[in-house]
Amino acid sequence: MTAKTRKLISSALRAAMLWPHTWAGVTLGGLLMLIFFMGSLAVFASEIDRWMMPATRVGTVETVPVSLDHAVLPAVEKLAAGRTVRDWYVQLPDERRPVMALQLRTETGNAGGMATGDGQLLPPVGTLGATYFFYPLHYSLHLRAGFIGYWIVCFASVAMLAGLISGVIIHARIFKDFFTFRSWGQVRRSLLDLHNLAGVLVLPFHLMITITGIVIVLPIVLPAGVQALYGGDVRRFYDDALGNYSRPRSGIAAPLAPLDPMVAEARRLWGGGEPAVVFVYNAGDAASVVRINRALRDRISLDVQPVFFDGVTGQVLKYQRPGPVVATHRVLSGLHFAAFDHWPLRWLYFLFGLSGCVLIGTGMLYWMEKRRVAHGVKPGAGWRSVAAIACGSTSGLLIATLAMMAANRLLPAGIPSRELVEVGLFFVIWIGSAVHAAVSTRTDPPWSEQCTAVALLAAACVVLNWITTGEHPIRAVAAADWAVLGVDAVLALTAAAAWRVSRRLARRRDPELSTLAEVTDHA
Amino acid sequence: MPDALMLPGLFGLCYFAFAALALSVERHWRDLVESRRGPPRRTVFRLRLAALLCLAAALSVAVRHDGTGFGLLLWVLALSAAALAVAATVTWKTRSARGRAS
Repeated sequence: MTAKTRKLISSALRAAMLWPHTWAGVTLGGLLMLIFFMGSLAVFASEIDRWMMPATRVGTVETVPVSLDHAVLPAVEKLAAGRTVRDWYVQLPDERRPVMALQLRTETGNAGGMATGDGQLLPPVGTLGATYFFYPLHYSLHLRAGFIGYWIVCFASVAMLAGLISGVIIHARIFKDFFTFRSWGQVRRSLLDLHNLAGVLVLPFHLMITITGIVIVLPIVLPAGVQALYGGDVRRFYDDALGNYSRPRSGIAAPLAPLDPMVAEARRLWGGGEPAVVFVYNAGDAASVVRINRALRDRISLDVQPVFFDGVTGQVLKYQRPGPVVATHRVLSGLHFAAFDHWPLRWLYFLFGLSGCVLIGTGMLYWMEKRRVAHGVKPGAGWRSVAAIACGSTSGLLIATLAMMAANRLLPAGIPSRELVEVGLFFVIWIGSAVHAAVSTRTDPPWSEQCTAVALLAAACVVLNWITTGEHPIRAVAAADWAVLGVDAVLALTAAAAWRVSRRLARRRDPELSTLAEVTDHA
Repeated sequence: MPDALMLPGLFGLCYFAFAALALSVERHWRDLVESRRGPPRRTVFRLRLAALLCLAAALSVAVRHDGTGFGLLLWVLALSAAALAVAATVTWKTRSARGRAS
C-alpha cells in the first residue's frame, strides 16, 4: 500500500468503522444469513421444485408451442369446476419447468394447479416448493402485510452494504493479504483470513447483489415519489412506469376472443422471443384484458415487454416501451433475478450467494472467538445469544431446510393442507434447533451435533427421493433429468461435507482452551 | 472458438492472471519460490504485465462469446471464482511446503 492511501485511510477512520461493522454483523448476521441462503436456493428454484414435485418431472418439453385455446383454456375450465372465473394466468412450460402452472381467481376463492403442455391436469403437488416458499422467504420473509417483510429485508440489505464498505476500509492490508488463507495455526486467524477472502475476492458480486436487491424494492421502501404523484397508489405507479394496463369489470358478459392469434401478434411486436406468462383479467366480461409477457431467457433486463389486448375484440390496447429510468431499473433488477438462461452464470450466482453466507458466518464466528479471549472461558449472556444465533442461522437453518425437503418426500399425498404442514415443520424445526443451540451452548455451540444432523438429513433426502419416486441417479442420467440429479448431487455433497466437519469437530473437544489461556496471559 | 472451450479458456486465463498476481506478492513468493528474498522488481513487472494481458484476453473471450452484457457479467464473476481458486492453490501449496520444512 502506498503512503498516499495510508494517509487517506487513517487508523482513526478504521477504528470508527469497526464498531458499526461489528454491531451490524452481530445483530443482523442471522437475518442476513437467512436472506443470502434462501437467495442462493432461489437461483435453482425451478430445479428444487422438480425435486419436491415429482409429478411435474415429465421429461423435456416438446418443441411444439403450447396452444392456449386448445390446451390451456380446457385446463382452466377443469380447474374452475363450474365456478365463475374472474381472473386467471398461466405460466407456459419452458426448459426448466416442463409443465404449465395455472392460477385462478374465482368468485368463491383461488385455485391453482399444474398441467402438462397438452392440457392434462396433474394431481395437486401438495407443496409450496422453492418458488413459493424458499424464494419469498428471501425477499419478504413471508410477512406481506404492509410490506413489513420487504422493509426488514431492505434494512438488513442496507446494513450489509454498510458492512461491505466499512469492511473494505477496516481491512488494513487488502493487497498484501489478497490471496492469503492460513488454514493452519490459530482458528481465529484462519477465520479472519476466510472472512477477508470471501469479502474481498467476491466483493464485486456482493456489492452488485446487495445494491440491486435494494433497487428492486425502492418504490416500496422510498414511497415519497409514489406518495406525491400517485397518492400512494403503487398499482397506478406501476401501470405508468412498467406500461401496465388495468380497467374495472363492466358487468356485461362477453366471450373471450381466441388467444393464439394474440400470442402471434405479441411475437410480431417483440420481433422474436417467446411468450412466458399469459394473464386474462375480467374473464368473460366485456371489459376483459389479456396480457402477454415475454420470456426473459435471452437478456439480462427484467423487461417482460407486456402486450395488452382487448379480450373481446383481440385488438392491442397497450404496448409501451419503458423510458430510460425504468429500463435501467429493469436491467438492475434483472442482474439480481438472474432469470436468464445461462448455466455458468447461474452456478456462479449460487456459489457466490453461498460465499456470502461464508462471509457472514465467519464474521460471527470471528467475533465469538475474539470475545472468548476478552471474557475468558466463562462466556456471558451476550456471547451466548450471539453463539445461539450463529448456530441457529447456519446449521439450524440447514437442518430446517433439509427437514422440510425430507418431510416433502415422507408426508402422504392425501393429508389436508399438506403444503402448510411442510411449512409448519420448517419453522418448528428451525426454532427447535435454535433453542437446542441456545440451551446447549457452554464453551461452544453444539456444532458437531447439528452438523451430524445436517449430514443425516441430507443423506436421508437423497435416499427418500430414490425410494419414494424410484428416480435413482442412474435412471436420472438415463432420462437426462439434470434438475433432480443436480439437487441430489448437491444434497449428497452437503451430507459428505457436513459429516466430515462433524467428525473433525467431535475429535476437537474444548477447542481453543490451550491457546486461549496463552492469549489471556498476554492481555 | 468452439463452445466447449469457451468456459475452460475463460476460467483458465483468469486463473493464470491471478496466479501471476499472487506470485508478485512478496509473502507468497517467499513461501513458494524463494524463501530468502522477495521477487525482483523486473519479475514483478513482468508478472503484472502477463496478468493484465490474460485478463484482457479473458474479457475478449467472454464478450465475443456471450455478447457485451452477459460477457461482462460472466467476466466479472469469473474473476472472483479464479481469485478464490488461486487463493486455495496458494494455501494448499504453502501448507505442503511448510509440512516439508518442519
